[in-house]
Amino acid sequence: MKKFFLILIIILISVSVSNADEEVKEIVYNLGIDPQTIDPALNHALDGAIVDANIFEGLLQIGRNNNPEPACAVSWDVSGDNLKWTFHLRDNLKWSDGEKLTASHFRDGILRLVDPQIGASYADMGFFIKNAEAFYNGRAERDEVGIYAPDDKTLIIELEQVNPLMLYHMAFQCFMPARLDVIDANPRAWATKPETLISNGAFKLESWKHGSGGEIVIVKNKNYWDSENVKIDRVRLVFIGDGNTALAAFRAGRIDYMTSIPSLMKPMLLKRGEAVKIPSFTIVFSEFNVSRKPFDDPRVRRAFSLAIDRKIITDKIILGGHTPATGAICPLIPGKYESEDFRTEGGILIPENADIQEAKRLLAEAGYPDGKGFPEITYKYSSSSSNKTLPEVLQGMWKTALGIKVNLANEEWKVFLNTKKNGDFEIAGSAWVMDFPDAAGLLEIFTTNSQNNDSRYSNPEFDSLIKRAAVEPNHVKRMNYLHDAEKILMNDLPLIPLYFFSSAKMQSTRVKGIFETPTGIVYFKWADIIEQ
Amino acid sequence: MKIKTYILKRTVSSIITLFIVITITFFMMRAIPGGPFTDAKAIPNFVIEKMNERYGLNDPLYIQYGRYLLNILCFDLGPSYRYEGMTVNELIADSFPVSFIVGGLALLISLVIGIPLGVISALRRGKWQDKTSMIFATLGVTVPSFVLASAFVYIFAWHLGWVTVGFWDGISTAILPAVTLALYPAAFISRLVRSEMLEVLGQDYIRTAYAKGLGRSSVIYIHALKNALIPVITYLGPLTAGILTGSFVIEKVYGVPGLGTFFVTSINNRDYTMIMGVTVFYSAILVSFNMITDICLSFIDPRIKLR
Repeated sequence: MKKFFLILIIILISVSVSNADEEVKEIVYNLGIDPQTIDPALNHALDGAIVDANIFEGLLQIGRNNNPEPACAVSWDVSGDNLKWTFHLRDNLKWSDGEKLTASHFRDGILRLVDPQIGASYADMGFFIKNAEAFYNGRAERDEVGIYAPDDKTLIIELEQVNPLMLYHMAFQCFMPARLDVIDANPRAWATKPETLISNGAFKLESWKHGSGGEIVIVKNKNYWDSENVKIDRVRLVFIGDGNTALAAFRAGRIDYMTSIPSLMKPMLLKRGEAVKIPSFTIVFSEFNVSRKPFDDPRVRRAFSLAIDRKIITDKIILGGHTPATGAICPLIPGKYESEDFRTEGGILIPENADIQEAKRLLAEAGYPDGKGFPEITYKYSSSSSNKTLPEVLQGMWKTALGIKVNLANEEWKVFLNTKKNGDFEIAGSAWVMDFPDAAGLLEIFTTNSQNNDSRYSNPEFDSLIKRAAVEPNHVKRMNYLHDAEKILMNDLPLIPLYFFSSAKMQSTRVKGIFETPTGIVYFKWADIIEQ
Repeated sequence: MKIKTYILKRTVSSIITLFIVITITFFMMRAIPGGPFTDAKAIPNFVIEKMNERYGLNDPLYIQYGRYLLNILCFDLGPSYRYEGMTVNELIADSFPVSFIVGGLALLISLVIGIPLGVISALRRGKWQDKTSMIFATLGVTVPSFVLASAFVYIFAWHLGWVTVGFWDGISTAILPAVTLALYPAAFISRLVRSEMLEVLGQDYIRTAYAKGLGRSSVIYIHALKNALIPVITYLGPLTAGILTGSFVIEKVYGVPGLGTFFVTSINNRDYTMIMGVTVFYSAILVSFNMITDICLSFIDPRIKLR
């Protein structure tokens, strides 16, 4: 018995000593949503992409200057015609289970994206690769797709067409390497459990508890090539869906970083300096169905746009540091030259303030003087509470400026998406978050064949500019095409841009170095805990 | 009727009920516009085709329905559309225990508060005790749980800092959600007990009991309360089923990883198998508790016959 106690005491002492020795550096981040999947090939949502950005690493990554920079690849060469890219991988790349990471793993990962058996929702993003689309549609074999791994450290990608965003794509979450030996053994569930989710990023999955109040826990990956410089041992990505609850948890010191700030609290928290504005590539707009009367007439669309005072909306009504939209492309999206962004170059294409006189004139010209004879129309929007204010404000502005009564109708989110897709609306609320810092991302929506073109807008000149921009290797030329396209769009106005959304973050003083890109990806590998 | 035959009979009728619930839910759910793969950024049609194929959503509806029924016979609720790689069985198995803890605690609290409050207000009818309990009951029944939950978060988490919300650390974090969840049933039970108690106290056998010289407390607690509790037990059946399967609002506000959330989110996500899964699960629990309640009542009150 004495012996037993002695052993017990020794165990207790050693446990307490070892606890004191290793102080676990932990960060808690409110992801807000339980991701649908964190399989890099299948994921198409921001929440999943944030997890993937931390547990996987592509050939490139988005660096803290918002530009693509070397990650698993140290360097790359491009052929003269821009159709062949050769990436050179780092030495000693390893998977989280210690296995060697080779170029063929990257080949396997990218092939999964365009494999018809996988059913990846971003599959078409990989169609710039030679024969990828043909493979997807069963017209080519897997081996015919233009991705080759001649040796362990070289990856060659041949393109179907020039891809001006190649480097951004190689940093994007769906172009990650894959371990087919673990995936094939458990194709649907491999990315749900830590035992089978082998990854190559700064962190690896430790656990995943589903549902509201659940969390994903990732821990430092000791096999990561730069693990010496990763200071954080553990990140808990919690799913607190209610903004106020998250805020209470933040105040109580339980959360270190969050962006899901309740919209009503945001202005106050920004003012007090508790929340800090961060750029976001998000535009909020209204969309017309241009195939239906009365919005088939561009003069009516222009009148509706001019009747809106965007300055009042951002200064007085929808508070939180948003800026009035003066074009379709938001600030900070790169332009022709590094010195200015696309928005500054493009200038003011729609006025911040209302121009009621001109709006009235256009409306009269279209045959509706003072709104007389204007058909009854309905503004549709999705029914989350924060959306309600904006439609009401617009309704009021159109009523006072144009004398037109617009009915409001809200619909449950997926019903609303369905309504828009079917074109069952006259005018509807909308917003768009860009995946890449590139103007084409938003403009593309309004091309004739785009599946996201709910407005039914079609302009051959616009389509051709976007098409030319998609394969133009010369950056300045390409930007010129996109500027011209934006001007056409802002002249035809199938959409009325309202404001450029500004995000905000709250970060506890004990952490530093958490980096969030304007596309919303959060990286923890540069973070650290400040000694207090 | 013998209890065994009764249980058998009730089980058969429960299965028929479940079958009807499954059928109605299945077809109603498929009538809602939008599907599991509807997204703000349109997923290409050819991809949706592939996904529908994978999940068998391209087959005619009656075949999908038939397949669902067959699977359910083997207790297989299918794969979740929302949570890639997870089955509905796994999701329910993960989240139900949490809801069970919160709900069980809430049930206990509602009985501990509700019954004594009802008895006191019946005995002190018209006096301040009765009036106070009336105010409590009115508030408990009328104030919606999302208001209470938000107010509690503000007071106890934000202002006083006694509890942290948003994290699930087991039983200690279950207390506040359980209290919030318990207030409505506690208020309801107290009113139920009060009115039943008043009725019972006026009956002949109570007078007889007093006449036999029994003490006040034994009359009230042994003779009156037993009968006054019959409607409470009837109410307990559906209450238990409802409270144990969680509440969307309370789980969302407090960040409790329970089952209740899925009742709403599965519909928002058009996660067809999960909608069916939680509906079937809840229905099964509900019919079981109703059966248990009926059996209990027949033991407590001999006038109630099992039929």
